[in-house]
Amino acid sequence: MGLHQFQPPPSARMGIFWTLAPIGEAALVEFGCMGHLRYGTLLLSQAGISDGCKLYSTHIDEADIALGTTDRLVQTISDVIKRDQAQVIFLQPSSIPQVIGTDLSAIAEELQVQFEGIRLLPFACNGFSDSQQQGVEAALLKLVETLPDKTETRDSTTFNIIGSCADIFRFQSDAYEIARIMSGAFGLKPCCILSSNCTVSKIRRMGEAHINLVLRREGEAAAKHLQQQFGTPYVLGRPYGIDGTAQWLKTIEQISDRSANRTFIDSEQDKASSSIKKVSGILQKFRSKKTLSLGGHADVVQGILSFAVNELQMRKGTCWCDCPAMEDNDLPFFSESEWMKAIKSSQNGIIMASGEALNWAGYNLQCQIANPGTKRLAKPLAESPFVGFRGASHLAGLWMNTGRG
Amino acid sequence: MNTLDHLPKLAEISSNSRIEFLTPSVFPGNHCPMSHASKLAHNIQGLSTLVVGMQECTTYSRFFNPEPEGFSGELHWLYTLDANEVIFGCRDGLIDALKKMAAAGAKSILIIATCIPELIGEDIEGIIHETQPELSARLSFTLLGQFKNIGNNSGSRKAMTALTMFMNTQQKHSMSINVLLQQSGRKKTEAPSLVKTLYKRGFSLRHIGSGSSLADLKKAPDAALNLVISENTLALAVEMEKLFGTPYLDMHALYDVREIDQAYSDLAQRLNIEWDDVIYQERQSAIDLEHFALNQFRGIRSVFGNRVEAPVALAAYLGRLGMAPLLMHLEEYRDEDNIFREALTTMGHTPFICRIVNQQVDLPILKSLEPDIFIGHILTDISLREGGRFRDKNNQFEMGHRGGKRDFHHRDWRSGGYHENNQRGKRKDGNNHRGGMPCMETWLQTKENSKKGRGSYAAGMSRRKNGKGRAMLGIYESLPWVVPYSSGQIGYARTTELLRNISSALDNSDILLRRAL
Repeated sequence: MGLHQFQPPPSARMGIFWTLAPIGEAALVEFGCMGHLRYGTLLLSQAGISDGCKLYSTHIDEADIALGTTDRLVQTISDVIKRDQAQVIFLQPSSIPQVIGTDLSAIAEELQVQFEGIRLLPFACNGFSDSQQQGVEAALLKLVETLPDKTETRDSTTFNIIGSCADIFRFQSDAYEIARIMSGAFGLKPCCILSSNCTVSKIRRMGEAHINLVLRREGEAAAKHLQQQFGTPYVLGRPYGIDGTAQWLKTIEQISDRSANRTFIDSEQDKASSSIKKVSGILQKFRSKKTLSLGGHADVVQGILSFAVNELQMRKGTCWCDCPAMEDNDLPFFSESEWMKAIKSSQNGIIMASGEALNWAGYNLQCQIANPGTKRLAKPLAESPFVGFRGASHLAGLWMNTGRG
Repeated sequence: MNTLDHLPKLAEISSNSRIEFLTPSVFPGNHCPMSHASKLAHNIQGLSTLVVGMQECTTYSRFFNPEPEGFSGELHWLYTLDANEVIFGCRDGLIDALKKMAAAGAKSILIIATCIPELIGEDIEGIIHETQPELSARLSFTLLGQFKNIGNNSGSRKAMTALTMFMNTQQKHSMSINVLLQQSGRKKTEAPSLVKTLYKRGFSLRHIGSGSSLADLKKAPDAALNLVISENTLALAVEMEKLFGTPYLDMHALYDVREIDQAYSDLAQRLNIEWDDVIYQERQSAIDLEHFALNQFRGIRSVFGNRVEAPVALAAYLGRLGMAPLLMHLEEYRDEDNIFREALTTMGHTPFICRIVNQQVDLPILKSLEPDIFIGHILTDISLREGGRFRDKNNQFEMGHRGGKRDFHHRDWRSGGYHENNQRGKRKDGNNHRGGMPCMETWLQTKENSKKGRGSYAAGMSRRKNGKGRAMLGIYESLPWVVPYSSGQIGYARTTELLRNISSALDNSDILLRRAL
């Protein structure tokens, strides 16, 4: 941590909050100062999340801290139960209870007896060093460990998406594109999109799905648990590009033992290819001169890079990821000063990174692929996706316009 | 249990500790004190900031101070504590950060410490004492843990007070006056007529608050008088009197014409001036309206909601006009409220005291008290999301809640005035960016509502009243509500605006008709 000019890497608490907040038929009670939740809600609205959990804070004052009392938590839970039709109440500590060592899990266990009619689910981080990605991973895993109902029935017409969370830029439109492709290629409809478009009831039915599609590595632990629990196979990865998406569909065919609708796939490939052909001439012109630099979530960066380099023969610039735990030899983690340096030195190239970084460097904000951003997504589903066939056309169009400038 | 059983009455209150939430579940709740401190610092030209806290606080501070670098080279950087520093303190890291900021060109740095540094007892004052001799940059700090400072008012107040660290002792000039005003930055208001009058009399006026500059702050102690016209600047005036011997005149809580008479008389005597016709005309309007209100307000029962400036003082004044407060939202109870509490108690008014932290849930409870009028901003943006709508008294139309766009335009709030001299406030994209007050000359020429349709985000009907001020009033499920005043006036003009607005709200409701029948 330390000194930052830009927004610091989010905490695990923030990762948990962003994962839980979009879930409907639930309430989230944060034990801590109310400012946390107020501005957390503001961030959610920037990401285009306007429904989902009912969000509440308990607030905490110096007397609560000095005496270690948690009466506010009990009162708030009691109040929420009276008013809301929530099936589950997620409990989360803010930084102060974490510092003073409030054991939210023990408190939840104790309170569960008092509030029998509703499930209390505490989400706590292990420490202050945990990253946002660890928070997302822990939240996804806990959700699938605790909520899905035991079932023997399989619905061969449904699938789950795991890892469509609010911290990924344009997560809703990406999930929507995947659902569209799955519907066209396999006739499958989503059972639960965890957690961008889901409710507690949908999570409860997750065990019935035919296959789990895991969009980020943080979701793999949850998918493995579901595989163990229900025998549901999973596919890990984000489909980028035309060939990449086709390959991803092939993997699903193999794992799910289902045949894809070739007519649909060919038609989608043709449409995407023809739109890319239109811009390929312009891409060709700057391909040799300009590079493509990418910074953001490791899975997003790797996916987009693979499309650009393998399918459009673009030149790789400086690429980095935003989580130290995800770095490898090909994709290092860059701290703030490192990515600032990288962006400054990429004068003759296309940069795709967080909105904040692009805004600072004066680059095209349309090329944002990561958060934090600088504007709110008013209609998230109306935004073009980055994944799938439509994502391929979208990306190629972006590069053409940005590269030409 | 009755929903009000847990609430204390005003007579039982002597500090913040006894003020309870009306209902326990907070949504969305008060702003964090860091927010207004960040906003204030963002709007002071030349002042750099370092927000110290956990990832949440530093990230969210970017809502209020969005760019790491200001237009005049100010640095607005963030310091995030890691796991080790939460346990052992962040002294070394903070000293290093201050040195880096000074080396990068920061001339004065305000350290805004949020919850965790205050919770772990980080000795920021000690760090400043130790580091200051080595740095060219002047340092100041403010501790703003929300567990001690529940709302943004304390953030403003403490941050304003921290500005005294940037002031230099100066020789007093008898014609120099500081106007202490913490402008929220949401609305570009006309300069109060009192300020205009003083300007016409040849006084050198300097605005201290959001929108002023570091140079203004340094020279501020040369003033013969500090004129306090907003509640969050009183503490700064008190501190300046202590440190620099600058006397102050507190106008922020004066509503009664007799009290204003006394203050204006003191001011005239102190400055050796006489008031002109404008002030006398304003006085006459206020007196006429007071007489009218004595009749109209008698027996009217009120509830005080969010964002009312100096609510206890206002309730005491309206109490003298016959209005009975049933319940009051108090973000903070301050020592200066004691006198107004006693006045209200003497009049026989003992309203419930609470904090409204979830308007959607609390409004039906407030309505069950059957008040005649609700004073304050009635709904937040969240309510629109939940389907909140407003109707005029005849149910003829529904109005969307302008506040519903609040989040969306969050960054656009800061679009108030700008400093003409150096074009601060201009974004790269050409839009005004800074909030706060314009420079004094621009302010004195500002016309009311020059940014028509923007700035205020209270819900409901807005309309001009005789070209003077903008009355914000409406009906929420048969409950008339009013924002007492919003034009930025002070003294007689504010009293006139206040009484006119409340009177209009009552006129628009059927309360008076019901009473007549």
